Amino acid sequence: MSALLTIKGLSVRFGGVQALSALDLEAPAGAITALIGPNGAGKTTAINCVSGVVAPDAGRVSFDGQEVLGLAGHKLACLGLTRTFQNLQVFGLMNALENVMVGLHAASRGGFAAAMLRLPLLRREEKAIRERAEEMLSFFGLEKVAHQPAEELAYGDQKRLELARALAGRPRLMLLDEPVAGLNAAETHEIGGLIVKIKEQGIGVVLVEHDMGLVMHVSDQVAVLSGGVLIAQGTPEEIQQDPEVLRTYLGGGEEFGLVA
Amino acid sequence: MSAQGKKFFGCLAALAAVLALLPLVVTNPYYLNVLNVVALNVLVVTGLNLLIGYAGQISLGHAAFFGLGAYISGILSGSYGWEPWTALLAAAVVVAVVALVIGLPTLRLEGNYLVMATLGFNLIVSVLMVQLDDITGGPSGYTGIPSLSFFGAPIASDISFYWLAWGAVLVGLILARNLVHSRVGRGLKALHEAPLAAAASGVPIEAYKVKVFVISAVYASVAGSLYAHYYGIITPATFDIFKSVELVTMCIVGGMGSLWGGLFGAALLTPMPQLLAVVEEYKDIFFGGILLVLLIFLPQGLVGWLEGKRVRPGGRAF
Repeated sequence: MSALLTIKGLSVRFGGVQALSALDLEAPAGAITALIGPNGAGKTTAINCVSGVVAPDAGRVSFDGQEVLGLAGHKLACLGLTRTFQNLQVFGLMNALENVMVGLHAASRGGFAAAMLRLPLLRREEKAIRERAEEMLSFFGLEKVAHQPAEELAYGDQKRLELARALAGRPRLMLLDEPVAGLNAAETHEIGGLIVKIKEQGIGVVLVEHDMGLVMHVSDQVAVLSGGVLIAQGTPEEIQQDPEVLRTYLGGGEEFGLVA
Repeated sequence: MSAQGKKFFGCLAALAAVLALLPLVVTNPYYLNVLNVVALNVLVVTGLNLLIGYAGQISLGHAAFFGLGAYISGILSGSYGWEPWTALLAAAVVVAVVALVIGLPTLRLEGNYLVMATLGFNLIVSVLMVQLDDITGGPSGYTGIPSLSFFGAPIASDISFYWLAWGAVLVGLILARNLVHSRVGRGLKALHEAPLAAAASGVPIEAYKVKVFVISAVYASVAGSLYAHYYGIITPATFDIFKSVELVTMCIVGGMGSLWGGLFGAALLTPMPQLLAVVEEYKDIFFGGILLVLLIFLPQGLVGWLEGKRVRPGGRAF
């Protein structure tokens, strides 16, 4: 499998903190690449660099052979790279359906003039957007809350709404920043199943997550960050037996689902 | 048509019916004149609402765009003999370019730099209107602006302008409503609520802010041109920063993010100075006070308050 996303030598410094040191990482299409590590390891920073939220000090990021560092945030979605956020970023006052429809922004064309004049082309596009959004809501089991403002949804529903929004535009790679943080075991299990289904559509997934049970269960490969440095990389089985990883987790192997 | 669409066009039809019947009751030219000024304010506020209520950007310079529309259209037709409709269009194009020049650098920055930029812009435009007296007529104003015409018939009387101005309001409302309920409209609301997520979804945030700012400036310009050709005389004082505050107040009184709210806000506040002599004397304090009280006690505006909902950018409009 050739890599869809290639990160090379990515370094970020926030004041006196070296958040990332020369990170190399590859994520192929149709596979789940997990990025794990203790708090402050640089996982979210890595995702923020790729998605254009943080400008790195050094390094390269290419998506499907194209250099993407420095591109405006919205261009990435047009290339087929979407993300979710660790701290929820739903459009709280818009209903769930509209939230997902925004996710189809990059996959549609109509501009200001066409919108104001409500051109026939636009009506067809609007219909297609709505249908795709409804399809997404039912895929994520949100059809019942389609017309509720997103801020009124239960936390777990908001988490799934973010996934629905990121998946709606048929991306080729999704960056998921802690999709099950704060969810109970049943909800985590359900989202795990959905992420596998997303992968089965041929979409690449980069999964940043603390829930080791989920990570070890769904991932095809796992990369471990600590203090901004990549300390191990391999299949879930390899990672669970890596002595360096076990040390990093301070012997708390069992606690994190790691069995030496 | 969606349920929302039915509701909007139902309300619009009701508004059109009321507007069609009003002249049967209101025959006094003074009251017709007030209604005409209301219409022009509604037009500006509708555009302003797209900017403030949906994209979440505040402009304190819309009186300047209103004034530029009036002066450019007035001078081109009055001093240079342009056909008034052509002059109106030319003014709109010039104002669009001016708004673009202001919007491009300021809307890139995070935070509300647009407020400062537009405020300064309004002050400059006011000074130019007074100082360029060879062209603008100076502080006493510019006179001799010809009326617009409709197939050769001049739109000079209060009643003929009534039809024109309110016709423009209906068209302006429909265009704005179409925009709000579109892919672009959703993008505007999204960038207001969660800019990071909007960008990650493919919404070009800067470009959208600039475009909606330009559109709102064009609404103001068209209203200003109509104003100039209606009155035939324009003075700089009409377009000072206090007029900008007034327009923002109307927008907020009615309810940000509700196009009907803009209509109510303008309809409610426009006649105040005319109806209450006390208010006219202290007009600027009056509008400033209303703005302050509203932002503290009724941030969702009248329409939002009537619907018993909290403030929501665009979420509730129709």
